[in-house]
Amino acid sequence: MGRRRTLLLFAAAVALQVAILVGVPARKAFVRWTGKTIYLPVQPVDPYSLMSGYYALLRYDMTNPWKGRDAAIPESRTGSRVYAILEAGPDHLWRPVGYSWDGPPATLPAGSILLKGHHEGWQHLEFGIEEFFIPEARREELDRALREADKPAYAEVRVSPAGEAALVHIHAGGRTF
Amino acid sequence: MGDGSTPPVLEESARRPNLSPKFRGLLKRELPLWVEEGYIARDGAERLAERYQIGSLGRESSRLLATFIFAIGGLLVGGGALAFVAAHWEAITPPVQVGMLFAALLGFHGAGWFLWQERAMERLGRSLIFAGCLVFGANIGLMAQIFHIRSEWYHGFLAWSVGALVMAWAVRSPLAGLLALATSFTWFTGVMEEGPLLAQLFAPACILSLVPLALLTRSRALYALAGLCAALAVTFAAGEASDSAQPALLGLVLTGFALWAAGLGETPGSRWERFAPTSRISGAVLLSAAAYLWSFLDFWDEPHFGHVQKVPYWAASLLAVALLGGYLLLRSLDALRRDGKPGFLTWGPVGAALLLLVPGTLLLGGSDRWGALGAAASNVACLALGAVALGSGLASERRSHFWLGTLFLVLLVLSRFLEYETDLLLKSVAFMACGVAVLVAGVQYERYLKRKVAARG
Repeated sequence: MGRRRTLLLFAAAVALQVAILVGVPARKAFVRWTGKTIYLPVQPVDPYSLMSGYYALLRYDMTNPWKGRDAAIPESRTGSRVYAILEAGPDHLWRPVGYSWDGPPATLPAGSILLKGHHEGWQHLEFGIEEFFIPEARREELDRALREADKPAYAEVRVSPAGEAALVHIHAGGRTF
Repeated sequence: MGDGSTPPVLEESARRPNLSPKFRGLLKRELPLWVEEGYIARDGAERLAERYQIGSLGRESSRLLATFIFAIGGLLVGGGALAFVAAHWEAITPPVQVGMLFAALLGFHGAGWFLWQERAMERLGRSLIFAGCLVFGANIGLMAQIFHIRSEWYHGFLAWSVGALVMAWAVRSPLAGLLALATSFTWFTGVMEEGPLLAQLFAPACILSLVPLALLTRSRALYALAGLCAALAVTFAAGEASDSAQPALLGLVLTGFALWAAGLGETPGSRWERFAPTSRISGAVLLSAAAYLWSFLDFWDEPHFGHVQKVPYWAASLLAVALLGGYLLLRSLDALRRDGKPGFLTWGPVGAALLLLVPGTLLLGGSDRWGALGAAASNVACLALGAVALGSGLASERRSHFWLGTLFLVLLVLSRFLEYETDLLLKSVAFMACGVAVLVAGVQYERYLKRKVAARG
């Protein structure tokens, strides 16, 4: 095989690998750099199963909309799309005020935003911001900070107009991770 | 010959010089002694040295050692890069982290290309390019961590395999091909349960993308492993989609037969000649494994498969493999007939495959009445395959084939005695009889080999 042809093929292979690496985080990176910043309260989690591998599992108010509510909220099929409508409270933390199971609502109340998720099954919704990767050296520190009851933890999230969310930081125990 | 008899006509395979490094190494050591003791003349020794390429032995062994060292070095460098995935680093900002990842990837590939093409250090250059493919995989994981991307774990392996495969073809690298195979098979194991229809595509994609690369790079390891992974994929996918072991074993039989048939009737001097024995052996091993598993009666009594599909796509993929095996056999038969070869060594595996496939297909879903018939047919198939291995050992004078066949038959006999409730005395007699049979067979085989060597004079 001629040298020029080998060079072209090699360059094409490298270009493909670069394109794949660009494509992996493309959507999240776009949301992080252009989305609106909101803060979501992180729900208390079981202290004995907080960490799984090298990432923290996070739960939010909109993770389980059926919890503590009546049967008026419809159950959707596993994997189906759902939209959570969030409004900011007096503490500047955003909480869900409603859900849309049939696509994004035509109009949104003033000051509210949309968060796109899907039904994972077992009355559990996910919005793509449930895992926070943490360096091994700081795992225990984050674990302790999340379990401090007197200092509620919250997640810094960027949200695009279409409802795509990207997790940026965790603020817990007075520290930022 | 002194007794006036006609010297034996050598088969085509026996005319080719034995170029194995072990034989040539021994010959290199012995030739000076033969010359010194007067068994051969010096010019005869020089001609033998030229025929068996003894002069290039040193270069070949150092080439092999260098390739091994560079491959290990490349793996260690790439492994260090992979260790970054577990380490995490949050001390620097994400844009700088991303920049460093791309710099590492382009650095390995660029350095590898430069050393290979500009400095004629091909082995080191290719090793660095391979390390670059490992860094590529590490970077996929790191990107997901930097941006906290949540996804099924196996998606990353698919992306990794695509990048490695394209590079493998671009620079004709069997190492990168093996990496693509390993990562794509890992993806398959993850997607098999979530996307059974998608999982069916793995086997044909594996064969179409990697077997030609193996032929191009003359890599038997890549060929054998690609065939094995494709066979396992068909087997696992059929089992997973049907929720039953019987379609899985059908998959094992069909893929084993196709692999074996692909190794028949090779043309001497062709590129395929190097791979034909590997193909036959791989196929025979898979056939034997399926026959042995199915020789147990319990397998035939398995309950009906749970998820009955209206359009069982797993059956379509098994049918495709069956047609491929049939085509490969028919294509080879013409060549075999020309050489006068089709005999028990050819028809034995065909018969064994039919003995497995016919009851295996007819009794899909289990049958209390006819399960014993299926188990009996599988045991006959095992006997046939064991006999083929023995026959191959006798015909080609390869001890490994003979002993594999012997041990397989012994395993079969002992398995039956252990499977069924039999008297302890009978079991002890069976064990002793098998031991005696192995000893007698071994002695008789060695005598046979000696007679063959003596007859060639």
